[in-house]
Amino acid sequence: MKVKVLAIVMLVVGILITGCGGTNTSNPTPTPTATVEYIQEPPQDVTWINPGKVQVENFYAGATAEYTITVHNGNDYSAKFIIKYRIPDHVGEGYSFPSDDVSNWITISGNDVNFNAYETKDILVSITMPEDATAPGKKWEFWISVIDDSQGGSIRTEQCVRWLITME
Amino acid sequence: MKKLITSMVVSLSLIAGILGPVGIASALTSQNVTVTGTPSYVAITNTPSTWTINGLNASSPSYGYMLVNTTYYSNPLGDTTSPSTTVLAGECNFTVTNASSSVPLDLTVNFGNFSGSADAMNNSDSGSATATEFGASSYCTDMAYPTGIKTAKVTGSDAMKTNWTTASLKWGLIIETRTDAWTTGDAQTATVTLTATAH
Repeated sequence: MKVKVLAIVMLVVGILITGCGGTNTSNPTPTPTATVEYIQEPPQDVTWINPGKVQVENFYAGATAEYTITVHNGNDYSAKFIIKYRIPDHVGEGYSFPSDDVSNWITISGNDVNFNAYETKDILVSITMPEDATAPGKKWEFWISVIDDSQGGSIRTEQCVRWLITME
Repeated sequence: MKKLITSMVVSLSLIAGILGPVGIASALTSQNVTVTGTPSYVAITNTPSTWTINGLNASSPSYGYMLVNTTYYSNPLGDTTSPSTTVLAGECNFTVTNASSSVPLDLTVNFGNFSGSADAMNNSDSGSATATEFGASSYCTDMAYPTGIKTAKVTGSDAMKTNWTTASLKWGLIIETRTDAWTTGDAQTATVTLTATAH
């Protein structure tokens, strides 16, 4: 009798656990998925960049991360754009400024890029942290600056992509 | 007894089936560098693109000339007229337009050193003038003046406006010229950069 009761209890426990974990077993290995949002591009006659932020997670010495940013020339004429790494003016809460040697870790597929009128180009940005390098912090930030060099006058605009790095 | 053993095997198998994959997933994700860029557009325009110091209001003293040890504002109401304690749109000469950016923006103003003259002024980066350096600041509509203004450095200025989502924003500049006289009368120019980043 005791054996039967014990067996029934064990079965009930097993069924309960299975029921609770039903969602997990249908998708046992969580897979990171990118969020895709279909948002409207700004007007053709406006210079823009995309995205505003690039987030790199689990980065470590010896690793490489890359992302293609998009730059659009909003002028109705050809223009040279300056696309370069730069130290942020300010960083997000909890993030550190980059150390001096970070500039040597960044590669941009074209720093001085000539755009035709209303042309949009993809620019590959990659960061490779040397194996013997020290990270500026657990979380740190740098910017990729995009400036339309054809701007006249003494007041010019700049748009930057924020790169937010979190170390492993 | 046989039933007991069968039940235990079934239960343990079910538990293992649940816990096993979770453990594997944790091990895998800790090894991978992930890079994520959610589509988001940053797009601004600004007008006008020039500022002639002491050249906005013809009734200003010494209109068209920059004097030493003087504070100038990009205020259409008067080049030496400070903004109100809560800055009004009419006291700002520049308009930055949010050209359909899809995310809230932060706006930062940096003010470079002057060039074109043997005694061109450098930025003190403190907001205040010295004997040979100028001080600069930025302000915008609805900002508390003077407590809210932001020092405009050569680089590394604090954001003038954060989490900006409106269609446009009026903003302005302040410059305190050097306190010692210039040795030349040559014109000098500097570049101001208005930077937009995703908030």
